[in-house]
Amino acid sequence: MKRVLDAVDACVAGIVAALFVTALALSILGVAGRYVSSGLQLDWIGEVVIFLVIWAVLLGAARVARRGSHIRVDFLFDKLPARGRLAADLMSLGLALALGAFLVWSGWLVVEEAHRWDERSISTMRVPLWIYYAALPVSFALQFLFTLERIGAVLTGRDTAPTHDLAD
Amino acid sequence: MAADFLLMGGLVVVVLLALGVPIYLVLTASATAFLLAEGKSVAGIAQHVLDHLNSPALVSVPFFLLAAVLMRGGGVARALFEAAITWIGWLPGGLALAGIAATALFAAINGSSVATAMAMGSLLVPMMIEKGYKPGFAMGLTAAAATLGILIPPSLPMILIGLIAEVSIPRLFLAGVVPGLLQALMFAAFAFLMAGRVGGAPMPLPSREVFLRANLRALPALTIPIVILGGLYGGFVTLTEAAVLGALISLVVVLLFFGPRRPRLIGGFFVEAIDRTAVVVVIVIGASLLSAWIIRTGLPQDLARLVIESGLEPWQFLLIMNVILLVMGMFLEGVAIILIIVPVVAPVIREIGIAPEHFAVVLVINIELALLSPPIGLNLFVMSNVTGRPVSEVLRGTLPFFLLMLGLLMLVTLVPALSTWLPSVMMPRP
Repeated sequence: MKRVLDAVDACVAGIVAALFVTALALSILGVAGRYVSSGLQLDWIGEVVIFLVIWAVLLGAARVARRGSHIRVDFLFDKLPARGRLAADLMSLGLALALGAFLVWSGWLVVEEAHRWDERSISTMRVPLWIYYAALPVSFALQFLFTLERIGAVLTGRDTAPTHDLAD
Repeated sequence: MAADFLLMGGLVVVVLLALGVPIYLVLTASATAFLLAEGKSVAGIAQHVLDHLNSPALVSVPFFLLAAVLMRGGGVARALFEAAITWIGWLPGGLALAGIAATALFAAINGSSVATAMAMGSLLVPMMIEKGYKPGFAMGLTAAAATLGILIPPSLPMILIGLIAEVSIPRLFLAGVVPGLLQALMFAAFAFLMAGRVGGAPMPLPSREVFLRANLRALPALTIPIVILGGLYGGFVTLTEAAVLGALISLVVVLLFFGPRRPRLIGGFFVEAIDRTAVVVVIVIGASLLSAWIIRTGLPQDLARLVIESGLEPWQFLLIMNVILLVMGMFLEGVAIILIIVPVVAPVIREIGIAPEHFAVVLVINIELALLSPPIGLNLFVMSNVTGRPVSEVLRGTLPFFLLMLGLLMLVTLVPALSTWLPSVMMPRP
């Protein structure tokens, strides 16, 4: 199971890097295009860069969730006895699970609606908005999965940290 | 009824935070529950989040962080430090002065205080100790100077404040310049005056050859602030484009001048920049939901009315805010402070006539202080980590600088022009 999730994790990292590099390249093209020739000025670049970066960041949020490296106030938590820490950890993870499930549901409704009404972005590229909106439910579905893994890990006392991480 | 509800909600949030539940989770889950209870639709929650994320300013964050991650390696910091030594290293307390100058320059190419502390700490402190400075002084100076990372533009906290309060981010950047330079000058004056007592002989005057070599080596790094800030304020590029150019130049500089790196490692930097952005963005999501709810409850209007009826002058209000922020700073991390305080206070300061740029600078200096205040001051731990010395020693060394910064905070609180003058000159309102 851990190996499957490690593979998913590595795959997500690859997609994140690809999206971000593409966003960087497009932005540079946007700035350069404006100064080289007005014919190269593309009105959709700003918008597409936002969509790419938000997709990358939301996928990144799933990686952060797996590593449990979200910002938290830990000076009191660290003083709890082991059982207390376990209980607090399980409460956090349970809450994350519930929130993840809710945001997959809520995000799915938005995606479905945008798809049904064929909502498009305002630039000339007319990007279907559901493609952008899908980032939210996809991200939280991954977070749901990774949170389940962490709950299993906390209960059995194992570690979820992937063996190889591109960002290390 | 509304007040009871608010109090209960606040209590739940505080208890969850204290139990170590991640901040994003507490904010998002509680705000979602409150909003649903008030009749917002299920789809409305995701729609709100997605509309808030669809923002050019937010997209600048990973690019600024990419530049910071790339620059964190020793090369750039060292080049800046060695150039600064050739400028002022020969003065009394010269190494300390050069350290402050290099840190201020490093702050102008990245927007994070912790990244600045990491880069400068492992470089400055060992060298100062080697040249005879007292370790406490060297660590305190570096930890405190590194906080300039968020006051001198670019600055991630300023971007967040601008996003939440809906104020121009380039204006906020400008507001931090004069106070940031003042902080650097105060530290420099202190280091100069203390030169006899903290040890450390002046460096020799550089030869022509050394001077040229050090400055040529620092040149590529020095072009970054010029391109970012020149492009932004010359009106050539937008905030996001400035961040993109900064990331691009950092990439080129690191690849060309500071040792070849494996492409795989560079890919890792991209992923790390996104991961770091994600940590902040999930909290932004929670805060945007929470602020939507807070606005529905009418709390900011009530608070504004309360402040106006009580006859508080703007400076008195800011003094009270400072006390609240200093206490919060002991227990919360900077991003969290911004995301909790700004949605509530931004409408109030508009009502009582405090410039948003002024408030932003006061807030950021408080966050600088938070980075240095125990029990969770991040810069203290970073410094202890990179030098391998106890936190208590770092803390003692930081104290004089902390007091100087408190003085700066008072000055900036009471003299709004220090923050508002530069934006009003460089970007006059139409």
